[in-house]
Formats: sequence, C-alpha cells, structure tokens
Amino acid sequence: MSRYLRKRAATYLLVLAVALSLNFLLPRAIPGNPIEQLSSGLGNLPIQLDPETLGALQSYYGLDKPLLEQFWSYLTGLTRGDLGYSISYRAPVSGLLLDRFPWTLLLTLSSLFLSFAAALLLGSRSARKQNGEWKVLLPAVLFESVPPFVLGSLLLILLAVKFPLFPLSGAYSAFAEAAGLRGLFDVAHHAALPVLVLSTSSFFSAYLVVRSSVLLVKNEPYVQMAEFKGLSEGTIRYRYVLRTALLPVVTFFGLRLAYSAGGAILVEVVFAYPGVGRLIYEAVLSHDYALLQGTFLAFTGWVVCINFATDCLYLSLDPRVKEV
Amino acid sequence: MAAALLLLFLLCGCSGNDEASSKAQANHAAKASRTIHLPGGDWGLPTPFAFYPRGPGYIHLSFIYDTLIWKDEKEVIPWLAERWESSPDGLQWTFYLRSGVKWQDGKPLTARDVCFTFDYLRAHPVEWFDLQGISTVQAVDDETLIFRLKQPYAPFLSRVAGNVPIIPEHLWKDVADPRAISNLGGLVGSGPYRLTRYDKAQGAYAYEANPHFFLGAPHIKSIFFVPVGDPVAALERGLVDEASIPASLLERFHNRPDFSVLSGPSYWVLTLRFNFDRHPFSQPVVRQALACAIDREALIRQAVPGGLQGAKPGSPGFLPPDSTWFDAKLQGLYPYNPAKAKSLLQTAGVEDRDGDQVCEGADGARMQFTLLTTPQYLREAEALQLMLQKVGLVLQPKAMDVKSLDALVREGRFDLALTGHGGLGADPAMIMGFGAAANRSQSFGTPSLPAYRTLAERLLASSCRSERLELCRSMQRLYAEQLPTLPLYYPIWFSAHRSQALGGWFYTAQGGVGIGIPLPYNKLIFIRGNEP
Repeated sequence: MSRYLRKRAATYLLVLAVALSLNFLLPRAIPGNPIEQLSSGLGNLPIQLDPETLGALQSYYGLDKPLLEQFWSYLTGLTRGDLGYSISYRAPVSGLLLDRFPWTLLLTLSSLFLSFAAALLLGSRSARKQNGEWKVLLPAVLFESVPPFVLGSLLLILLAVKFPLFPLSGAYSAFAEAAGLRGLFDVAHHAALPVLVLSTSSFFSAYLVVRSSVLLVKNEPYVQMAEFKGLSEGTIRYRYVLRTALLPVVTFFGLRLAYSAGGAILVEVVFAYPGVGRLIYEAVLSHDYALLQGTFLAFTGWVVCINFATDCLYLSLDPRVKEV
Repeated sequence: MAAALLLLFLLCGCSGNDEASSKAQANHAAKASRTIHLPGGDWGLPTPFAFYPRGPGYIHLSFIYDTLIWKDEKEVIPWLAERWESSPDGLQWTFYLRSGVKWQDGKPLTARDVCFTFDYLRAHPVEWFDLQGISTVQAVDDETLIFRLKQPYAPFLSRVAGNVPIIPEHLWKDVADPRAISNLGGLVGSGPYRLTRYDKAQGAYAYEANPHFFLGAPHIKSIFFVPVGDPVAALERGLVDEASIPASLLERFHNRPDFSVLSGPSYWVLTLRFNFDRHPFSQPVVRQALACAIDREALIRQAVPGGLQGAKPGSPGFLPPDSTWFDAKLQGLYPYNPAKAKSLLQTAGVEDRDGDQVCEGADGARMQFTLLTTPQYLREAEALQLMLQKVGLVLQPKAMDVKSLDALVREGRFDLALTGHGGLGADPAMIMGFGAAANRSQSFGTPSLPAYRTLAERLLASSCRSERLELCRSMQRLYAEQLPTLPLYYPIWFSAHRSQALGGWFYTAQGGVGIGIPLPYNKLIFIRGNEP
C-alpha cells in the first residue's frame, strides 16, 4: 500500500471512530427514550406503564445502566459483530440490516450504473458541439431540482395508480412463490420505478460533469496532436479524451454512490421498499437507539468504504496522486 | 437514455399489465375460495412477547391466541370461558372454561394453561398486559379457575380477561427468553387462524384457518396481509379488499356498487395540552378563557379541505359523545365567545395594557407562547393561532415528530401542545382516572385535585354500574371545570371494503378490540363471514 493510501486509511479510521461516538450519542440526545415511546404516539392506544414493568423493560434492554457503561458494551458488542437489539422491531439489528441491505444495494447500484453509463455515452457525444447548451441545461436544472421523492410520488400516481403498469409498493410480490426467471422478473418489475426515479435524479448532474470535463480535455494539445495524426474519431474520443476526462467523473461517481444511499431513504419510503433507507426512517420515528446506531454505522461504513475505493481508483487513473 | 428508459418502461409496463390482470383474476378466484387480502405492515411476530405493542400488532396476536372473553359489535361475549362470576366484594373472579377446547397442535387447553400464562407473563412482563392488581390465579379443576385480586378492579374483564392471550404451557414452560422466539413452529394458540408465512422486511403475513377451532372452522379460509404503500390506492387497484380511508377521500367510495363504506367512532381525541407549571396556564380561569376563545366547530371545518366529515367537537368533560359514560350537559359549557374569553383573561390579570393587540400579564410580560404540534396537525395549529390572536394571545406553532412532542410534554418542556391519543372507549376508570388513582405518570393530564383522585379511586374499585356512572359524571364535571386539557374534536374512522369479498364488517363494542383498538379487524368478522 502506498504512503498516500496509508494516510487516507488512517484518516478514514479516525472518521469511523468519531462517527461511532456520534452515532451513539446523537440518538440519545432526542427527547424521550425508546421504552417510553412504546407507550405513546398519535393514533395509538396509550399504554400506562407501571414502574415495575418500566424497570423490568429498561433492565432487559440495558437502558438502566450509566451512559459510559452502555457505550462500552456497545463497543465490545461491535467487536463481536453484535450491533444490539432493536426494541421497536424486536429483533437483532444485524439481522435486520442484512435483510434490508441487498435491496438498497440493488436500487442504488443499478440506478447509478444506469445513469452513469448513459451520462458517459451521451455526455461525451454531446461535447462534440459546444453550442446549444440550453437544450442540456434546461432539463438538467429541472430534474436536478426536483427531489427524488416528489418525482417518485408523481410517477407512482401516474404509472401505478392511474395506469396500473407497475406495482404500488414492495420489492417483490408477497407470497407469489415465484422462482427462477419469473422471480427475477418480479423483482425487476418492482424495482423499475424506484430505479427510474433514482437514475433520473443522478443522470443529469453526471451528464453535465462528463460533458464539461470532456469539453475541457478536448482542447488539450495532445488531443489536437492525435487529430493531426489522423486517428479515428472513436479512438480519440474514448482513448484520448475520455480517459483523462474520467478523473472528475470518478470522484463524482464516488460522491453520488455515497450520497445515493441517503437519497434512497425517501424513495424507499414512497415505494414502501424494504431497504435500509426505510429502516432508518422508521428507526428515527421510533427513537430506537440500537437500530439508529446500527443503520448509521452501516451508512458511515458505506461512505468510508466508497471514498476509500474512489481513492484507490483515482490512484490507478492518475499516477500523479502518488506524489502528493 | 430517454429511449432506453422508455424501452424499460414498455417492457415492464406491458407485462405489468398482464400481471395486473392476472392478479385481478386471481383475486376473483380467491374470493370463491374464501380468501381475503388486507393492508399489511410489520407489526412483529405475533407472539405475546414479540408483537409490537400497538393496535395492529395485537390484532395479529388475536388471530392465533384466544382470551377468556371477547367482544362483538354490541357487548362482551363468552370466549374460552363460557361463563364467569365475581364475588360481591369484587376481589374474586371465577371463570368456567368451555369443555373440549384444543390447542392447534391437538393437545387439550385446560385451566392450568391459563394459570401458567399469568405466571409466565409475570416473570416476563410485557407492557401491553396489565397484571398489577392480580394476587393469585388458581386452577380448581381442568375447567374452572379463580382469580384473586389485591383490590377491587372494575375494568378487570376488559383489561385482563378480554386482553391477555392464553398460551400453551407445554410449549412455553421451557422457554427462558420468550422475546428471542422467532420460528413459526412455536406459534401455537387455540385461535381461529395459524400463521403460515411471515415476511418481516415487507410486513406480509399469511394465515390459514384452524379447522378444529372451538366455534367450528372459520368462514374465511385464508387471510393475507400484503405490503401496501398507500392502502387507498391498493384498495382501488384490487390488491386489498378493505382499507381505512381518510375523511377527505370519502367521496371516491360513495355510491359505488363494488364498495361499501363503514364508519365508527374513533374514540380518539385531538387535545390542546396546557403546561400547568407555566404562567398563566397554571390558573383554571385562563384555561377556561382559551376554551371560550376556540371555535371547535370551525376547527373541524378547517381541519382538512372540505371539513373533517363526521367529527364531533370536543367536550370539556373529556369523554366523547359516543361513549356510554358521556355527560351531555357539559357539551355546551364553553360556547365560542371571544368577548367572554377576554373578560375571563382579565380576571386572571391578563389583558392588553399598551394597546398593541397583544395581552400582557400582571408583570408586564407579553403573552406569547410556543404551540408544539406534529406536521399532520399544522392546519389546526394555524387555525388556533388565528383564533387566539383575536383575544390577544400570540402563538407560534412549532412542528416536530410525534415522539419528540410526547417526550417534551412528558418532561414539561412546553407551553401549549396540540396532540392526540386514542383509547377513549376504554373503561373510564382507565382513561379518566387511572393515572390519578395510581398516582402514576399523568400522561393524559388529569386534574391534580385530591377530590378528583378520590373519585378516580372509587371508580376503579366500584362494581355497581349506576354508582360508577354517577362517579364518572362527577369526574367529567371536575375535568370540565379544571380543564387540564381542552378536547378539540373527536374524528370518525371510515373503512371501505369490497362488497363482494366479505360482508358483516363491524367496529367492536366498548371502544374496540381488546383494550379498545378501533380497527374493523375483529376475528369474529372472519369467523362468521356474513357473505352478502
């Protein structure tokens, strides 16, 4: 591992340590505690907890211990891979995360690959001409400024309610017992609308980054040299221009990938999609400490890993980084 | 990109259409085989220890497990117990079980199982089940059991006998941590349905009828709770056969031959909470002034576009007009009258001294307050802001999530709060006086007068209906005078169902299923299945 990567890794470890403490402390700073939350809420029956039951429940979930002791048992639990027990879901947090993570991964990865593949193809093509920017900018600004959940709600109303072409919610048909190709299709059918929403929201910004980066590189002397040598347009565009132009795109891809998990939260809520995003949303609503810690940790880990992977990729694309 | 997306669209769309139509066909076929689809959501594994302690969680539990007694649309009915009696002093309850009741695994259900259930629940407490007042539970023989109470407890039938699910001793006696149970095989009750599939991530449940159920095989053979993002859209698309609908969407289901609409009292109230510890709300006369300054009828009209249909204005005595304990005389106690509100404020030393249209207290402090609310009730909060502005009180609505609001109210870190809760159909000893009688957390904001507490204690212990009615009226009168909270309105719940799928839907008597869950999913509906 290069010195650069070692330094980066150390920084990320530090970030992880700070995030761990914040993940532990922040949920506890919200008014109320998860046990009290069990007994309240609009539209719900108020349950009067007697002191004995309250005490028994608090000690069962370890909430009666001092904060430092709770933090210590959280840390020692983490070393064993134990993320704690979700009070609102009555299940271990790690199991809940493992159940939900593949669905979020499916949404975010497929939407990002779809949008970036399209952005690379169309962005590098459209950079041939420098005029007519409004044709690009107008839809880009429009779609970039519409929050994904608004677009999601609109598409849901249009394509799942008015014209029932797509499922209303969920990741697969309940109890359909579909296997093999049919099962795969069922999952794709359910993922189509959320993926479409997420790709649309990341496509235009990726497209603009690719386009402006290609435009910058296109006028470099070495590209002109290649043109003078009489190389074909495709070779120049993809081997000379795009490779150099990819640097900011890779950074942007990394950023989008990290950010996409956050962007997926509300889209998952709108489509009742059983991913980590929806889990976070529900954990926040129920003030479930263990679940909040676990989901935030998973997100922190996700962002740190992606940043590190981006760093590594950057290194192989631009050897100058080693010298930094 | 656009072309690729369009292609994806068409591909999925075309086959989606096929799937939708095949689903509709399947639905029709399913109806012939007595299947029903209901809106799902994760409410936990339905065991008494793992279900999420909320209304829908208990509904799931009730499909598998039975209680000693149950409720239909009118009254309390025999269930596992075919009859029961209480001693004159109210300290001893004897239950006689039905003979021949079997667990779903074929083993007989006896009085020993009932004793075991209560012992086991005491060793592993669950917040939903209130076993405080029980001293001992004893099986006299296989079909007779006696509960001895520490003190007379009027709501015993509804809170205990009609709420605690009986579990089989032979399956649970060796389970050390019941919360850790996660396999479906352990879910053996005596109830009308067995859980065959549970998908926690999606919130889907599949139930099959128990052919050996003690009242005979249930009419509906399979119940599916399927995940829906929006229940109303799912109902219109034919994915579910019933859904609760908000009053604002009622129009869409009226005069449609394929749908029937059912309405029932919500036993839910939106209240304005006062912080007693903060000036000027510590004075009852100020709270009364606010009651006169707020036009509760107008609030109902403004709550949603087109008005909140069927909602009734809040009664200062707290209990809703749908309750059999309601004191109608109190309804008109504080009619809308801003002039009277101003004069009441004046008697408390709150008036506009400098002519800026905003009142000041005796110490000259401006009467400016924060009104906590949830985003859902911002319209009401803004309406209140305008109404109170007319009497010189300045409110600043502040929206937050409901859990944070509840916690701030509980900790007393608020001026005014707009919040609501259900359960008003429960025994009045619970809903009006329990906190006061047991000196527990006053989560409903009960009056802190010794007289009120005495009444609450008597109501909790008395078993004479007429005496209880009188006690309850006195409590409502004190409540209306003191106004610890101001009830603003009681909404009505609406449920729409496919007429072809199943008839005979009802809202359960005495506030709802169990301790008062106002959902139309009483298991009796599916057992009886009065087909249209």
